[in-house]
Amino acid sequence: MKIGLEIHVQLPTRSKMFCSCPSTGAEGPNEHICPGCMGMPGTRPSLNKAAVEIGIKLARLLNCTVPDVIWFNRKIYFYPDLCRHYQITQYETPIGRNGVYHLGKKPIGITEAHLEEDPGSMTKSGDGALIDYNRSGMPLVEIVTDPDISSPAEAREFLTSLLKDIRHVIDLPDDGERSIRCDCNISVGKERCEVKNVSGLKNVERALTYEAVRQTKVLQSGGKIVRETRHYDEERKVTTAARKKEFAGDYAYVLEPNLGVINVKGIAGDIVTKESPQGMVSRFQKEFGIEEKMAKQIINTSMKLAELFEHIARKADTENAVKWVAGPISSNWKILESQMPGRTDGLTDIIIQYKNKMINDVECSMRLKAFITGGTLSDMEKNGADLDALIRKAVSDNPSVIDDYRKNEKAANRVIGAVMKQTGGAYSSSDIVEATKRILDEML
Amino acid sequence: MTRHRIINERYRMFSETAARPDDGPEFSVSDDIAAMGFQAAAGSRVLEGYRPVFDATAVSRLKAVGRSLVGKTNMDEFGFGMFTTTGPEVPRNPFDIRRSCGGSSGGAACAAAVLDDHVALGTSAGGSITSPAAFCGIFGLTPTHGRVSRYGQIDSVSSMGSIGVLASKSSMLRECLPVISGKDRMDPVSTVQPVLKLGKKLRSAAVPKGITDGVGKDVRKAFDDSLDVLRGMSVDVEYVDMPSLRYALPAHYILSVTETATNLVTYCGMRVGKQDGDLSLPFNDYFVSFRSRYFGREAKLRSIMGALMTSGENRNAFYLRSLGIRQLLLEDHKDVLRTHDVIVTPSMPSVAPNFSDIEGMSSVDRYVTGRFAVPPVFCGLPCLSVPCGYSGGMPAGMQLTSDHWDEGVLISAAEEWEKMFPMKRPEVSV
Amino acid sequence: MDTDMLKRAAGAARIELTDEERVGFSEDIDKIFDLLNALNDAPSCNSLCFDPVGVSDALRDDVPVVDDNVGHILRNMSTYNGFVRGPKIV
Repeated sequence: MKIGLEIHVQLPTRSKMFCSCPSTGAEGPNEHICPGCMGMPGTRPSLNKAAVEIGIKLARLLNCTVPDVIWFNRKIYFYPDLCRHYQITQYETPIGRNGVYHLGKKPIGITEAHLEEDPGSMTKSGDGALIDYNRSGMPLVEIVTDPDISSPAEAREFLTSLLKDIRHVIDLPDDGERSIRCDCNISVGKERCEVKNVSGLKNVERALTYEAVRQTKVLQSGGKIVRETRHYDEERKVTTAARKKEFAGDYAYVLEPNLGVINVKGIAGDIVTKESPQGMVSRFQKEFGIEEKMAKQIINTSMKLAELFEHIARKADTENAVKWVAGPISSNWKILESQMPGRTDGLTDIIIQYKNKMINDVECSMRLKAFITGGTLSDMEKNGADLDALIRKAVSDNPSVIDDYRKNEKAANRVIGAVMKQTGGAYSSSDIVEATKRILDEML
Repeated sequence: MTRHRIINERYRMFSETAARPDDGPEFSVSDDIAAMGFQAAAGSRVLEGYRPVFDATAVSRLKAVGRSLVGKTNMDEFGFGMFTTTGPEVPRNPFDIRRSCGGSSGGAACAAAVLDDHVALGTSAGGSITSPAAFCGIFGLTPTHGRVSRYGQIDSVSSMGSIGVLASKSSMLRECLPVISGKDRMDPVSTVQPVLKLGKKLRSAAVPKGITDGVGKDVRKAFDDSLDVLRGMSVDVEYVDMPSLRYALPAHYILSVTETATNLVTYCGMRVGKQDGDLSLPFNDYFVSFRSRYFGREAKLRSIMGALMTSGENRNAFYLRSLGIRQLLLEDHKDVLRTHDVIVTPSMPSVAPNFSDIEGMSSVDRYVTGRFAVPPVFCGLPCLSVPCGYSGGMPAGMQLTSDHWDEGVLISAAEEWEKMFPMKRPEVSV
Repeated sequence: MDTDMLKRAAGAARIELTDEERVGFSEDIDKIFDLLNALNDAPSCNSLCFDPVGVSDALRDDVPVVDDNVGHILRNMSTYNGFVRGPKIV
């Protein structure tokens, strides 16, 4: 099975791509429109610099080659949601091409990524259609992958990981204002079908699964797959063939004569691209020699936690960074996150003291907690001692736990459950978990 | 009835006139230039009823210096024509009303020739200012592509051409071009222009060898005599080889129909202009029926030609090839203009034809009358048509082409020319 | 001009021709191709003059501005509850 995706990402600019209309915040239909994005004759497109800059960042994220010079083309497309009936897009000079995205160890080829404008949005109504052009002229990057994805589940996994990276690298807020839509190409045999305009990760997986089953059935019964465009019906969860002439007759790709060329090389030099979460996972594995699972756990918790990890790993060492960041710091991350990166140095100092054997690991743990929660050390020690005593008692009440724990770490849950019940919320669950494991480990 | 309306009954230059014109200096704009309070239909039925909510930059700039807009002038549908016979109304030549005003900005030239002290803005993307200026015996200045903001210009062709000035006196060119020129953030193309410099005197002119081959005797004589007038103005006149000129018409044709086809896809009976179709039809049928019903013949032909020139392998063979030819032509022109201030040719191969003769001409026959008027515009170069002789009472024109952004030398040339050449005004009987 | 080719091109341009138009357009297009044949002996040129005056880097800063003319713009078109009305979509 071969799957290739075309992913449309709305870019977080403040104004539209070719006019100054605001990109977000419209309260009703057709509020953020002007003669330009309504395609009124006599208006001219005026290119938003920020759209080009974000395009460059995405192209870099996808490890694409960015050309020195770009221009735009007109793609003719007769549809009521597209104001001029041509879309300003890129044909010869996409902002990125020949890239690759590493999904764990699997490379997914990126054919290209190009800048283009979004059309308006439509709803059916009785006899005709009702159109809202607030979205008309919103900047998009369309990412086209090679047909390297081998299952609907992998497609979803790829999209999940890619979107996380995209959100971080271009600061794309997850506030529902900007959508991400996919055209999905899938072939079970030789011929492929395209399922157009699917929104949401779940729907992509569902549409692809439906289509894989459909194509398999057709082939098994001796039929042939017809190359066609299909729609995904979200309610019925099926794909249906689009009418042929609906999308027939693309031509032109005339060079957009109103915009001239853009020397991307000059712009690109000034842009600093943030590291993507996925890129950081690979780098942490290489640079610090930690497991992929550990790297992901830290980075997926928060990019700020990952930065803290990196700082401690450099100032102390990797072993201590893993021990303390994955342990007590992660457990208390909710309290700490809003105060970062201001508390980086304080935390690092405590860990360095431990590394230099000035304090033992219980002390280190207490000090970190006191530092994070703002409590005094004696409170921590008292609480910690109380908690330790309670845990030891729970273990001695139930001695078989130690043998079970040796075989399977999950046995600790019995002790944890008992202590939680007994203390009724006086201690945080992460503290109980941590202390129980520490004590059981000591007893082994 | 205002005087403009009475005159319009005879010459039919206006598609619409202001209800209450102000006193003082006036101007008009062709029907493809947006102005608040007026319809802007670009001579097409598809745009009937379109009333723009903004002024074209050229319009707002002329208003700002105190000229008042008195009307919109007739033109060929979307500029497709050399005789202004394809729009809703056909303006008549002020020197002989049985003849054409030229086109596509025919109404503009007619207004500038007939009305005193009238500045007419027209547009050209392939000789549409040179042609009517020559046929109506006036000055017609087509600036460098991008010199005048195209914001508010309803274009069929976008990578070349300009809004320009048609006037019976050279002083109006000097007055109005600086006003309508200049950078405008509403048109990115205008933002690359250098400052307009006036005052450069015309010293040297190049004439492409064999340029008058196949041109009518009367026009050839007027042109040859004009070269002598230029020499009398102590201008060096030299014959040069410009072998690429013969490719200008076919290459321009390809590029203009291609861009036209993409600009005209906008018009489908939604959002703008006529919208009287049956919305219960499926959208494709709705679009097809609307376009088939309201586009004129030439608009249909060019839309189809544009689709042909860019589909499949034709994109390389025709569309991209035309861009290559334009580069050749541009280099040829630049070579000559490095050593000469202007290139001089006749404006049109004949004087204004009778309407009865035009009727029998095919689409291509009409198009090739632009053989002199097309090349400069194709290359984005500024050009000026000046009246240079009369044959049987009908004016003939001479076209001067200068380098990009050098409109200054053309305006100086117009002023000198006006002193040396006895221009005639048409007799206006109303 | 081949009838099928003309039909296809007209279809792509969303134009339906009457029989009479089809005959006339065929003749016109044949003449146009005669004109275009003059390019057969033209020298080749690798550099494409996409824009004769060399427009580059005409960019706008990302500053949003709400158009105060929305009501007037919508007056040019057929609307329903603030939506623009269009033909049937399938």
